[in-house]
Amino acid sequence: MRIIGRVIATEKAPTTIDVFCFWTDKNLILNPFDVVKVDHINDSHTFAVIEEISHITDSASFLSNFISSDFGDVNANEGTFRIGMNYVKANVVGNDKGIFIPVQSNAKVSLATREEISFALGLDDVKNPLICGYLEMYEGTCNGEKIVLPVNVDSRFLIGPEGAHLNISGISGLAAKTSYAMFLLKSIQDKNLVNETTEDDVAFVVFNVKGKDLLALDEENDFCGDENDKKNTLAYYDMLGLGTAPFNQVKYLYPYSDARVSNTYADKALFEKQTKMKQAFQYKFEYEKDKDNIDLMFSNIDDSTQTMDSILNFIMSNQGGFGDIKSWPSFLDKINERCEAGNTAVGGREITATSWRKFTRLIRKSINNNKLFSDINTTKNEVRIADKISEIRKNDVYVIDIAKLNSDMQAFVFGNTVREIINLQLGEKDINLTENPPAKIIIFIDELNKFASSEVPKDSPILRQILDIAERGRSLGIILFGAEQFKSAIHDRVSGNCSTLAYGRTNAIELSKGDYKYVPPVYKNMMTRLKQGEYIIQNPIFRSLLNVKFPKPLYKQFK
Amino acid sequence: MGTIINIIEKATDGKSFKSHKYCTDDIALSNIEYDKSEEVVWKNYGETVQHKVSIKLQQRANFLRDKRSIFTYFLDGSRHTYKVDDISYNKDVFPIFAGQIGIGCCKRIHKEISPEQFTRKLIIVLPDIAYRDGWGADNFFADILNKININNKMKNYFGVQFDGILTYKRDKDDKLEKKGIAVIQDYMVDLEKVAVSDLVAKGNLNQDNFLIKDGSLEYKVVSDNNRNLKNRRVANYYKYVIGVSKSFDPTKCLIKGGGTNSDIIANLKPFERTPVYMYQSRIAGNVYFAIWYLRIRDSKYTHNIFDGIVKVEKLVTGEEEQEKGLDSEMIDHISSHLINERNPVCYGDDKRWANHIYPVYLTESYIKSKYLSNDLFLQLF
Repeated sequence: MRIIGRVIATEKAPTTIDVFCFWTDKNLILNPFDVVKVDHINDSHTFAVIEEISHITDSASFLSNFISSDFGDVNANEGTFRIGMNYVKANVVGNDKGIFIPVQSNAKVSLATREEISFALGLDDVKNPLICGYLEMYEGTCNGEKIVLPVNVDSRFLIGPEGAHLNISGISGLAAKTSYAMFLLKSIQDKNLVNETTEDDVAFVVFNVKGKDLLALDEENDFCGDENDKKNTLAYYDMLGLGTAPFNQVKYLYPYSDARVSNTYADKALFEKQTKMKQAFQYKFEYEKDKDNIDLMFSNIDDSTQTMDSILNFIMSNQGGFGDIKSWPSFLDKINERCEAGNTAVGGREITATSWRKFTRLIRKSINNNKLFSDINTTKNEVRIADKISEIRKNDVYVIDIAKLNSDMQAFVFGNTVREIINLQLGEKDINLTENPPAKIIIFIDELNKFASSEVPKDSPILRQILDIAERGRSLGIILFGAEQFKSAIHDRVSGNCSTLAYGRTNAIELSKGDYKYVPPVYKNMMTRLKQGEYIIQNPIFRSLLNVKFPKPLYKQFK
Repeated sequence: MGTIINIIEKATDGKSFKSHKYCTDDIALSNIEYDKSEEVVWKNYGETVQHKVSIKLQQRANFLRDKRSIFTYFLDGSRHTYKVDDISYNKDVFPIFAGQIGIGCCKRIHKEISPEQFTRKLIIVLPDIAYRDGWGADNFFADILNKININNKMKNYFGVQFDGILTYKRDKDDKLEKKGIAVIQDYMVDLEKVAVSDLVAKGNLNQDNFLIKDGSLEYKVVSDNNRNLKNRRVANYYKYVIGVSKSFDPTKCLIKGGGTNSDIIANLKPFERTPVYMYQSRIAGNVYFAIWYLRIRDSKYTHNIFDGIVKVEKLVTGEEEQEKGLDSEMIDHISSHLINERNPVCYGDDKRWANHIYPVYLTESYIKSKYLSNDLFLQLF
């Protein structure tokens, strides 16, 4: 390939095992993340990823340039262009003969071939390959002939058992976090559909938290009628070896709505269409079966004195007649009774009426007059989330709509689902034994910061569950794909346990946080300029951060 | 003791003193010595229009500012000289000198500088007594040179080759050190002349592609050499060459009728030139030079009133030119283009920034970058 420069090693800027600089022509277009090849000893080649590109001239100071314009004449011309060059700082990623001594002064630096790039980035020998995007290299360098390379990640390092969990961060709208998560899920589902025999059968539970975003995952994207766009997008999917159909086996769980109050953004036609196809269900929570989850309603309440906790224990252990009740209205009546003076000491434990009143106030807010808290009607496609989770099978995609619920209810539904999934994977649920449950369930939740922020009270039951998944999910077969605007807001133990991190476009304030200390300044700046559909990926099998792109989604987009 | 001195000692039957080796100068520019020593007497007006006052060129320079410059080639030569040992012959002690000489020429196309040619020569200078058999010295020294170059250490370890062994005369008319260095200087000047003739031979120089040579064109006459300026054919090579000197001694420029012209030069306003004077150079073999001074930069920001002024020389080649002087129109044209060379500057990198012409500065930097380091060079001996 074309030689583009030579290595520079000076007293002040020596080449090292990790880093070296080389000069290039000032007009040569290179980009951060491009791979270069350097001739090294014993006929070996060292590969490096471009980190920073600087332009220098022989001008000794700013003043020199000022003087060169006739002491500040803005119209002054120069007779000769100042001698200038670009010098590029590159991070070593490997050597084809395993030689890691620093590259030597004046060594030739050239562009790499497709195969060499693949080797350099560790993409050529990925076991259990799973497409996570594609990278484009040398954009504008060789007369517009860029190299496009599919990027595979080892699925064992994304969805277990070697490493698990994914965290996607980036500014809403500009980063396309949901689209990227869906692209990865699509890639996983495709792989599983092709490899029927794979032992790693996977099912997906995704939460729709915004409008109708994920409420038509099995319908085709119409690309707003733009045929060219469609053709280009499908070509990318072809190139990546992925199918061009949207998701399969999708089921939608909507919060129960009646004629008066709608708890979803999905329009009636869509809902009816999905119902007809036996894909849509409405979920409710029954007192008898779901009362044990009411602790999830208190996940954002600071309960330092543990009064709420003791009340919840009191109820869940069926003390004070709570076990005899069959419905939510009766439950509310019962707790109202507790609020009356004189009912403090029951069952040998003292809970003051004031505490009961606080409890009542909090719980009434969610339950009272909420149709979600009622008994299900089995003839009308009404379900309990817990029951549906028990039915989940390989390659199923469950979309649980929580977009229109208030944040307490969102937490409750999310917590409830996660709890049921944990129970399922722990084998604590009664399931239909004719078919095995999937070995792995991937949960995708946007706005993860609502449930696992570093500011969530430590004893929050949802946070406890998420931590449990982050730390033990790999072995349980529960994988968390979380997305949020700012990664720094996420609990350290959650983000720290993610094997894969995807950074979309973000802002400078976020980048000034400690979480990004290890990211080189140029990559940080790039993070503020990433286009939609572009991510910087970190995964243990990649030898450096990768700038990957992914094509537009194949499922229907609601504008 | 180094390899080379061993070989020389053995071949010339001398006795080395293993004395201190050192570089005798930093990079010196060609012909500065002549400028300092020689008194210049202006004989006549050197141009067709007999100007009485300095000539304003700003308007013309501004007009030409966006046009292509007539200066395409830039030539510079420099040398490092070293005293590498003392050696005794017949009980007298003589110094041995060595030199690295670099001649570089750069070309400018679309305002971008690129190298056109480069020559580096390494030479050794011995006292003439090193060869005591009278005639046939050339073969004798060629033989020693060969021995040095085929020496394994030189060939395989250092990977450098020497290009010549020259001698200086041991007559007592001047300091031996000065004479030894003068030999290296002359060798360099000769290489410069070769570089010019190469450019001419390639047909590179013409009215739209002038060559600026750094320093004076006043090359000393060298006997037994067909490249002297007094040679009519050689003089013709210099039709499109000007010499631009950064430093000059204005007190040595005497004008017709007595006194110096330093006042005229000092009073030059920005972008003005002095009238052109004709000057006959004795050391160059009585050839005529047209000389004028040009202020390319205002003196208000410089240390010295003479900063910002360059001395321009052009060889007078034809008989008609000798008689009537150079065409004033051409002088104005050259000067205006030269004024437009004032930017960019090498301020901060070179103390002579106000008088330096940037492409020449780059050529100089290019040559410097090609030198062996002083330590390495001295290590060879």
